[in-house]
Amino acid sequence: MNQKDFLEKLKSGDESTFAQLLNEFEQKVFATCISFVPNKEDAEDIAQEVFLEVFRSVNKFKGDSKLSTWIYKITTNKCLEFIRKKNSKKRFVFMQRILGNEIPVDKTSYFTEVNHPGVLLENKEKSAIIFKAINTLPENQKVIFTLAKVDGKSYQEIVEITGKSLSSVESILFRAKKQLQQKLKAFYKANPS
Amino acid sequence: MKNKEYINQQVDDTLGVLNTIEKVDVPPFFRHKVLQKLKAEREVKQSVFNWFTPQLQYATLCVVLLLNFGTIFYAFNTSQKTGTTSSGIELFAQEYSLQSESNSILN
Repeated sequence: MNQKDFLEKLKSGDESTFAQLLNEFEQKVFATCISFVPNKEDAEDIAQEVFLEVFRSVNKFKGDSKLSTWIYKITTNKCLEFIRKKNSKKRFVFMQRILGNEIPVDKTSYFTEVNHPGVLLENKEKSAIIFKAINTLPENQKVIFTLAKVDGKSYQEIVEITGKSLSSVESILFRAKKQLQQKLKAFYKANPS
Repeated sequence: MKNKEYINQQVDDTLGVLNTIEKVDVPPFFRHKVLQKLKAEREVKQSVFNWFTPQLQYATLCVVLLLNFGTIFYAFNTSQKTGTTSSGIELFAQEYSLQSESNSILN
């Protein structure tokens, strides 16, 4: 079945087609969710919400991009929504943003508990630090860095998902990495082990 | 100097952790949970006012607004005409000396 027929069946509300969609994308969507939100339970909730949104909004999808790209866009947006909601509850981070201060890598201000089953036990501490550091990046850097370095998406996929040019993606990724290095240096200077 | 090298090493190791993250399988029964939620959503939608579609809601709103504006416009116009008529009658009465200026009860 080609994408057009698949889409028509999805729009008609055919359950078996939706089950097929779930079958094809559940792993990929979940992997992206847990890359942004490294907590298994939260990532599962977000992934469920992604598929419900796909079903609700499929009639609005014009087919001008690949179905996978559209689904990844929804996934990214749902993850960011979740992070924003949780982050806004942390007053410290909110005030720092308002005052224009550099947001430190503070273990206590993370929006969720880091509980990523894919992280090896010996790397648990460092993985918490890196995820928290990523969370302090500006949103565009956070998205592109996460998609590229955590979720393992190709540059081409990131270009399609974000709608940015390849040079833009490369530039933002470079800046994100530089920022992370600076933040981590500052963190390790302040917290010598 | 050594401290600086140590910190750089820590930074590289921390960034390198991302390359060691293993794939996590989607939780069991995920598909089942999504389909259940979808079914629950569909059941909520099929409520008593299912026939009252958004288009119908919009049309009803337009009709109600038109009626309101029409009523206000009619009421406003009517009060203006009444006012004009009253002053016309008074003027007529004054012209033909039909209006009594005395406020005495005996008249």
